[in-house]
Amino acid sequence: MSYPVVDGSRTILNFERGTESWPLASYESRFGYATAKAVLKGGKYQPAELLQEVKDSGLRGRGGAGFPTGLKWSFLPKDPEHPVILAVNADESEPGTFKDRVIMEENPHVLLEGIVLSCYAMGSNSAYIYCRGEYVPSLKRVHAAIEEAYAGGHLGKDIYGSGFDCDVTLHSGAGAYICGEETGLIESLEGKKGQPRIKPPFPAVYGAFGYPTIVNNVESIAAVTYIAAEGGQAYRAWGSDKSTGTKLFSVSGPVKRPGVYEVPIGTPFKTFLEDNCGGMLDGVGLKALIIGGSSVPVVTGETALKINMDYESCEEHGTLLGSGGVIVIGEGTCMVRSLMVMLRFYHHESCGQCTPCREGTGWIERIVTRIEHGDAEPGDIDELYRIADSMELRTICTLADAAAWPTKSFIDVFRSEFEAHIEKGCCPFGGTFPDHLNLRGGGVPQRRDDPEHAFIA
Amino acid sequence: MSTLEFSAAAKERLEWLRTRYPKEHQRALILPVLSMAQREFGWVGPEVVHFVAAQIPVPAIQVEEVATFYTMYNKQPIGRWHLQVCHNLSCSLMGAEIVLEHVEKKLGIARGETTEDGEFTLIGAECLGSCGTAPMMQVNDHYHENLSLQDVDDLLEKLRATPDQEANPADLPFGCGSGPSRALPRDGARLEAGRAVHVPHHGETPVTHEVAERPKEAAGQPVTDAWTPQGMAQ
Ligand SMILES: Cc1cc2nc3c(=O)[nH]c(=O)nc-3n(C[C@H](O)[C@H](O)[C@H](O)COP(=O)(O)O)c2cc1C
Ligand code: SF4
Ligand code: FES
Repeated sequence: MSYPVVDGSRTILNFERGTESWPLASYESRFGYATAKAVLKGGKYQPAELLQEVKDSGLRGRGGAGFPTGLKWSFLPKDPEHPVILAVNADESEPGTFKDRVIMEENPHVLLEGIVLSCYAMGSNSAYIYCRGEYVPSLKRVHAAIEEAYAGGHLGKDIYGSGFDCDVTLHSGAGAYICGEETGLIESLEGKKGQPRIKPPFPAVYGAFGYPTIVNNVESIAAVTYIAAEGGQAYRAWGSDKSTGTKLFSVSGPVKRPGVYEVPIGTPFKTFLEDNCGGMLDGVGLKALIIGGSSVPVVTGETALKINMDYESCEEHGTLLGSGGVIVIGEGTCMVRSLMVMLRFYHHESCGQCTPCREGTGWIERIVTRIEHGDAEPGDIDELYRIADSMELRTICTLADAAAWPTKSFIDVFRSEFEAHIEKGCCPFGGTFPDHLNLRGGGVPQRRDDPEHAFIA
Repeated sequence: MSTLEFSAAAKERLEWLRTRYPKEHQRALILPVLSMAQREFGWVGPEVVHFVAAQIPVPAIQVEEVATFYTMYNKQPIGRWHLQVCHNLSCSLMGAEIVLEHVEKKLGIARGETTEDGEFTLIGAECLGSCGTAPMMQVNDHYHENLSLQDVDDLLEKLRATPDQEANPADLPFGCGSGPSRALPRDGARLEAGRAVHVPHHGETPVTHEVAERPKEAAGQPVTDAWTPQGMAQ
């Protein structure tokens, strides 16, 4: 038996939808832990060889920044004085992103096996999964999976008699977006406010508890399981030279089948929208797209249809792949209002350490709010742009940039809408979002009976 | 003296938790133990802060810092049902604002408020990772997704009729010993015992500042007087 891949590309979500895919027995029937056994006990790879496979695979971090995973691991000190820690980032709070949740709810063991293999490659014996506190089903499933894995001998001391130890602890956050930032996560794990640290030193040198620490996204670590099973080259069979493998995209907005899909990276957005998402809801046109979670620049619907969902193509079209949180915006949506909603979030979530971020996020939120409410002054758009511009690259972490980029892109791409608000002295869209589901008419969401809809337990 | 005490299950969980973090870094226990305390006692007031600090032990100020930073710690009692309607972008695109307005009208309160009978606290939440199944609302531990207005009405009815035990499951299902906030039992039973904690009834403003006596363990630890409850702050 070899590692099962479903539908030609599903390596992480490699099970039938709607089945009980999360228990250990089910995972074992899908080649589960066979790779960990082959590596730890069978000597398939020495740690350095496995690290090389991960490098060869071209895997880039799926948490947002897209940093090459193997390269990150190689920054660990060679003979560390302290134990090495793997911190799995399951904080998933980027608006529009809900893919890690599906991994944790539907296939938690693929994450645990990925953790064992990653720890082996980086010389760590201890991993923490930092999961956002609101994710109760994820916490429950991962907790149950950890217990099963310990009982089954897949975690703990001397795994499979190989002499290798790996302890995994699930740690719950308590509601703070900033704890998704890697050093904010580390501070939070240490029992502090989740305020990001100034870098350097980087976590690989001085991380959680002052120990060398690697922070990786859930999806990145889950992908290691396939890479260790089939090799780095096999992973490259999908995607392009710089963007390899498969990627989970979480789709929201007025499409027929929103939800989470694993597809080869580089799939044209047009194909993805039509084939996977079933197209737009009837009668709704595609106005705009935010492809990588709310922090990335927005593009028009027209541009969106030219994008291939990989790192290069996104950059070419003025946006970023980010976390793969695909937010589809329908015709009739007010872009000023959309930006207002997003900025409320960033203002709320700023941790307050850096003045440009703490003051800037509030300032731009207030300006956009007054534009939306028809109370703006003529110079406001330029003022808004200027403030957003001056927030960029001046802060400890990139939350300030994550607020500034969308702001600038909304103005760049939809400037006329901002102007119309100011000229008319009110919101041309009536100060609300369109009612795509006809809720005001008492409608029932037209898509919820679709079994393919929202690939969530 | 503090009269708070963890249940047997929580005590056991705490001992286990101590073994999961490096010995010299037991401060890491603050979040899990605070979450556990919120589950046990309903909300995190000054007394709970001192109690948690004494369990670990760490200076109370460190616990207080954490309690005020994270939104899931309720710094004042909330309604029996904590309704959190996500109104971030993906949800707003699919009608979250309509749902929020509907709930406000139905319950006669604005977001951020609690109904007079102490049944419901309503807030507009930020992205809860349910964007593909919008509009959605988290109620205590549960997500309710793909909502229509009829679903909302039915749900509110059902919640009113649900007994307290189900609103406040006492189990601690997580390896981390932590989980999301749960609402305060309506009669405040677990909190009452000998302490000056006031459970709001019928439109009274919650009072959370009257700490009769500071726990001895924490005496001398700095506690700012301006310990502002901000549990419902947006
Ligand atoms: C404000 C902010 C929030 C973030 N939130 C998350 C998150 O929720 N999950 C995540 O995996 N990465 C998040 N990141 C990215 C992390 O800092 C880090 O780059 C990532 O976890 C590294 O994992 P990867 O290399 O596997 O992508 C966030 C970054 C910032 C600046
Ligand atoms: S940029 Fe904002 S969120 Fe990041 S450290 Fe500075 S104040 Fe905190
Ligand atoms: S935007 Fe509402 S759950 Fe993500």
